[in-house]
Amino acid sequence: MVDCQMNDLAIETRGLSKQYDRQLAVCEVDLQIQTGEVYGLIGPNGAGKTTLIQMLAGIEEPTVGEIYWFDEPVRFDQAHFPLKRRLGYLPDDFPLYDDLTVWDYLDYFARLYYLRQPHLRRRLEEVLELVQLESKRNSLISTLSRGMRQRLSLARTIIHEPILLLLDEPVSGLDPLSRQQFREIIKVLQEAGMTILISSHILSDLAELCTSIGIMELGYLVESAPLADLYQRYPQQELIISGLDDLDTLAQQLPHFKGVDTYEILTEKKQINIQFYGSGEDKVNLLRSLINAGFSITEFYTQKQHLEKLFLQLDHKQPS
Amino acid sequence: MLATVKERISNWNPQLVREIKGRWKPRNLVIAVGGSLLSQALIYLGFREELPSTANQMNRYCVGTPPADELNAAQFHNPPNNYCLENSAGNFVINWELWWLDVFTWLSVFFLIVLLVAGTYVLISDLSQEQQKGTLSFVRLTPRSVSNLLAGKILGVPVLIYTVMLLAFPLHLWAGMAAKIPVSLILGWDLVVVASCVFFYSAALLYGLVTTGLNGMQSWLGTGIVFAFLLMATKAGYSNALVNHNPFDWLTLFYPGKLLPYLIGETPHSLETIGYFNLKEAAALKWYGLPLWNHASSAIALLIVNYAWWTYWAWQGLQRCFRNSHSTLFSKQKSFWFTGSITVSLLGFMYPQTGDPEYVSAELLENFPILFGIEFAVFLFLIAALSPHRQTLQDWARYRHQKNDKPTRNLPADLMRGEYSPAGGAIALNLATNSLLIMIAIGFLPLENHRLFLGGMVLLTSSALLIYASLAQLLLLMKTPKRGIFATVAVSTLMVVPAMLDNIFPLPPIVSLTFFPIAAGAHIPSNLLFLTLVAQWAVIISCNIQLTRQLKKAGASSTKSLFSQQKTTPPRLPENAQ
Repeated sequence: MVDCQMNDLAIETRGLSKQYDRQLAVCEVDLQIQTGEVYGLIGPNGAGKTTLIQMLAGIEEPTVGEIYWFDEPVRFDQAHFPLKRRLGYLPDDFPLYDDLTVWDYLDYFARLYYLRQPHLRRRLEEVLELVQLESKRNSLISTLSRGMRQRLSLARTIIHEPILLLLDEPVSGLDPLSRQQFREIIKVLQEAGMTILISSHILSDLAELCTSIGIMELGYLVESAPLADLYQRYPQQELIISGLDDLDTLAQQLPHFKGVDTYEILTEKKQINIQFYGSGEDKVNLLRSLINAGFSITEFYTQKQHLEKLFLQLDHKQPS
Repeated sequence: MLATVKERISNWNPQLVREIKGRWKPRNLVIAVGGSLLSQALIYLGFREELPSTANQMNRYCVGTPPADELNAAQFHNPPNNYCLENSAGNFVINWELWWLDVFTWLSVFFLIVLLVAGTYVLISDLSQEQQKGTLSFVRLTPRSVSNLLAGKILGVPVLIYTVMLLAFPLHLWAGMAAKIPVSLILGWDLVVVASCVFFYSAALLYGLVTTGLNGMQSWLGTGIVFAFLLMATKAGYSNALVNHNPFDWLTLFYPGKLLPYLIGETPHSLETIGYFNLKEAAALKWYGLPLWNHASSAIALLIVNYAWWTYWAWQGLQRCFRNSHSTLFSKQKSFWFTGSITVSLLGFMYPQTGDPEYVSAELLENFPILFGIEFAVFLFLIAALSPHRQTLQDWARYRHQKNDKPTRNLPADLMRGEYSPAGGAIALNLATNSLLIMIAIGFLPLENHRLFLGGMVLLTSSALLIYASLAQLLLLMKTPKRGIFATVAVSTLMVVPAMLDNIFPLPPIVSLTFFPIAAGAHIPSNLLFLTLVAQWAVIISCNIQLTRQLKKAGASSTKSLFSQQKTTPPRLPENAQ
């Protein structure tokens, strides 16, 4: 293990590109991930997320560009023993050895990473407990469910106590309960100080876990920022107004107010949902004006924009 | 104690333990043990059946001299049969030492073939399955060295076959000792078999790593090649034709059975009585005139050195291709040592055995097409081993200046030594150095007035190989994922089709000479030689002009268009982004 200070860079890429034939899968990506961060990578299918992660993991050779883990350059197909001990990589599919038991599988990988007894046994038990597979330790891998196999893959990824985790679509295809379990495990790993890069299509999961977000499109990293900054930079909120009066009349007034973008009337709920990008003062003005105009307001509140909505605001392009 | 040993082995090589755990299951063990014991029993009982059963018959294992009227019939057999006599107890007098020798030889050959063929199959199949499933990627990411991981595979994947062999070891040793073969030689045989396993298994792993896209056929193809080689060599051994005093002898160095004559020669029977794996013939083999195969110990050492040298080359490829499956098998610099060592080895076997100086020149002339044939095969392999694929070449063309560690490196140096550059330059240099070695040999060998013809053949063969290399590289730039197969088919077609067509309707000799000069007769008129060389170089130059054009197209223009296209329209953030 290396001693890493907060605000050091765990991953840095400079001009990283990958070209397949005439298609640029990843194009001049300059990525910086701070130590201890949980960095979410989002983007439409074919945006280059998996290729980027594979290059970071040393599985795919970059066409051009440089990769650094903890300020040390990573060169594809080189042994770089100390660097490899720091990395854990979980791909979107998770091939396993069906002929081994859960314990033997983890024992095999732990020893490949030079773990020795008695620490080895303790670590195996710790990891099995973390991924909730203690009861399956002697079961053949072929008998495990998809969720269990996914958790076993994660256990294999962290068995050697890496400090950098690359997780490519780790929850794809899992049921909500398994996803919840997976999220809990990631939180534990985050608390343990691991730097985690995670790509996922399930943006609500990422919003819950991530400290920073990167958005990829057509191979470009078009956005990379702490999640809090991103919310600040895209300040649109959802303003909810419920009233006893005729909502259509109320809605007719709305376009005259500053900060109101679009709105939607939910007649059954007697509610209007407004996409609002104004300041706090604009919000106060709106409420005051509506009351002064004689509308009976029963509820008036804002809710934070979902990551999913924020993502959808971007003008997405998918490779043809 | 056992737990400590297991723990130590697990720490030293987890891959080995993983393979053993996955395979050493009760059902598999029962099959392996049963198979080994059954095959031993069948061989033993089969040879028991060969013993005489009725009085006065002729049999290989009897000891009596046949009566005069049956002498001719007895000698008709090769090796000759003997007359069966009974002792005072009414039992046949049997030459048990000869019987055990036959059992020993059969066990040696049978288990050698099982070991190499089955081992090769399971290794290729295991590695290609791991490649397909993607499990190998995780193993690659661990900090274990390639040698540690692949040694684990070699020791672990064929573990059931090793079990079969270990169970057969006592009977094999017993049979050898009963045949009066010294134990030291039997152990020497075992050592050579182990060395051959290391070589064949390493080559199998390399083959499994680099052959993808054959839809599971690669295991059968690889195993088929090994089986055919062993079968042909064994047949040659049984018919006393393992030594030919020509460059084919270099190929037989890969057959562990080359040692069997030394073991058999130690038994108290005449070579005529035994009738196979003749020691006199094996010991007559010379290399650059040196009698290196005179003694069993030197034969063991030479076989092991040969296996070690080629195992080293297999591991060169494994080290490169295991980490990066797109890598070429060898670096360009090392390829010179590879081809050079083969040519030097082959030339050592050129000198014929004949003592009559009158025939030396004629026999040497017969040996040259064999030399050219093997060199041809070696260079075809080299073309496959050194030629980078489309993606690598495109990246090289596009980003050569950005990727080079030494930005000052010039293009010719990059073509000769660069990791990603086209292979044509390096193959041409390889051909030039090897042609020079052969030319020197031609200068020294007593070839009378054939030197000019042979020199011309060297030039034609080298140029034909350069055509194949240029064409293969050009085809490897194709878009289709099956470009490797296309390149192989195209080169094979160039080699075979002109000769085939020539048989149906006569083609101008320049056509077949251009593409497959080995088929040329003993004499080529000098004007035809010159014209063929001109034709060959015209093909080489046009192929390389086309290759350069394609590389330029793949490089500058498409990079410009790709970047300009994408850079002018990068994905935009929404307008409210700050």
